[in-house]
Amino acid sequence: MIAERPTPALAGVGRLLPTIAFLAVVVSGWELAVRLSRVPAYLLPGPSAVAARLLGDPLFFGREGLVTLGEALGGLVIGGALALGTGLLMAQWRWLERALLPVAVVAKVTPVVVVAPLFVLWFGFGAWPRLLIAALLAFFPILIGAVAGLRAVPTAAREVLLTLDASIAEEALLLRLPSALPQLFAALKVATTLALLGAVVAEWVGGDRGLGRAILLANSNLDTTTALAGVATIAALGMALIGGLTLLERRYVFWQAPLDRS
Amino acid sequence: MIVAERSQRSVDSARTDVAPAVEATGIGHAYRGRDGVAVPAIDEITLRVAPGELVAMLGPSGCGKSTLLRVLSGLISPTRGTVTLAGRAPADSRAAQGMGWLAQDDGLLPWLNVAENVGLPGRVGRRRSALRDGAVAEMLRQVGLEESAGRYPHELSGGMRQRAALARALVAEPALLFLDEPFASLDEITRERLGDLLLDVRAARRPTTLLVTHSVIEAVRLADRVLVLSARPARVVADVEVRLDRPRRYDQAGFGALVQALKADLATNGARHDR
Repeated sequence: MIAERPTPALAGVGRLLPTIAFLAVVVSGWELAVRLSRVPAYLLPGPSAVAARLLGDPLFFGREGLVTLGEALGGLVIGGALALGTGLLMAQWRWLERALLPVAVVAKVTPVVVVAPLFVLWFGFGAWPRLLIAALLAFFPILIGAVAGLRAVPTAAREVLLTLDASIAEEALLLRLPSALPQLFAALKVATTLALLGAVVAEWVGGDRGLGRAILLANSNLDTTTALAGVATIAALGMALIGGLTLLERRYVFWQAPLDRS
Repeated sequence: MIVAERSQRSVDSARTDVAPAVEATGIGHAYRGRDGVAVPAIDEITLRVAPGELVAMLGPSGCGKSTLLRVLSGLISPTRGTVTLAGRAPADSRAAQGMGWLAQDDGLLPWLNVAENVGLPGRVGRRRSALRDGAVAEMLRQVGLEESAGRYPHELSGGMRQRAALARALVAEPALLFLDEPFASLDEITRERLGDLLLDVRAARRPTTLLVTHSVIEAVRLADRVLVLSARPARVVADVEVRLDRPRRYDQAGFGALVQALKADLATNGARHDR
């Protein structure tokens, strides 16, 4: 039965209450401190100034935000598809995992700020290096989540499928992929924020558009208000993506509680 | 002595069958332990099961009877000896004549509803076309789940889940039905009802049935023949034909005596191989 779950809407408000209260305290404390100490805006603008900047030019932040979002999502799709495919193969054949996992780990531990200029050098100043850097960052968590999820197949269900003479593809489609969904969603949430980070860093290194570029420009003009408004936009994008994933997870993994608490 | 005499009788009865549904000759299986030493789970087992027979395999917990069932089904290969199902290798036989499988863990897929779970045999394997139209609905009615067809496993009680799993095992009319402690996690009343239900739903096609259980009473209530296994590594220490009229009742003449005799076999053989 679904009876143990409280009414979703009510529970949602109740869960968010502490967060909202905490944010309200931080924001008003910040505003108060800025006004009382008369810090110049190029050092630290108050949240009201940042909000005014955002609302004063929503088209600018919306447009640049869409560019960054597109790069992050594109990277997520490319990295996710590659990771899921590799994960399926690795889950089936352990020797492949032994061969490929060290390479994946090396790719993971190489700092993105080091790799980004190289990608620009190799792939030019277009969208490709940005997509690929986002994909590179998204790849590893999804791979790990996929392998762990695809391996942790319920034994009893697997035996039923084996006695029914199911092929490897049928087993993957009917059993392995669905049973890996909880792990995959947890991994996707991690990968999403990383893809966003990758897109922003790539724009810093070699881009002519996007929020990363806008923040970099604002910084060099000592326009801290615009830089912070850009940061707020990125945070909003990240939260929207995680929120969307959580909704999808509730829809498609209805038989168990989420693995993480986001 | 009594054990030996009973064994003799069933060997004779098996000999009259032309093609045994299940035949194992000198099979053994050993697991590779953590230190690389082979740990035997079953040892030198020879048995034959006639088509349509319901054979219970009774043994102390941890004796290797679940391993024996998996070797007989072909899910794992014996490290010694041979297994054939209706004269063919287990995998071929499974694909050709079908095998229903039900373990203590129902193995239902949590993302499919009851009807989809029961219809699973129609979606996989080379024998998927064996699932007749309307068979799922009919099977659901037989196990009393027609009104729960659209519900998901996490919305069902343990007994209902096990009924759904039993329906899935039988829906494609397999020639073989392998049951590994199917009702062990249920309360006694539910367990008894499901035992009766099992006899009911297999009555039409009478698939050859192997039932692994640690319940002597369950074995005597349901089986045509009971194999008693020793403690690990499992060996067949008694082979007893159950000649009691059906439907069987606990107060029926001979029921209690047979339960006692089997319990005695279990106790002595469980203890003997402990060391």
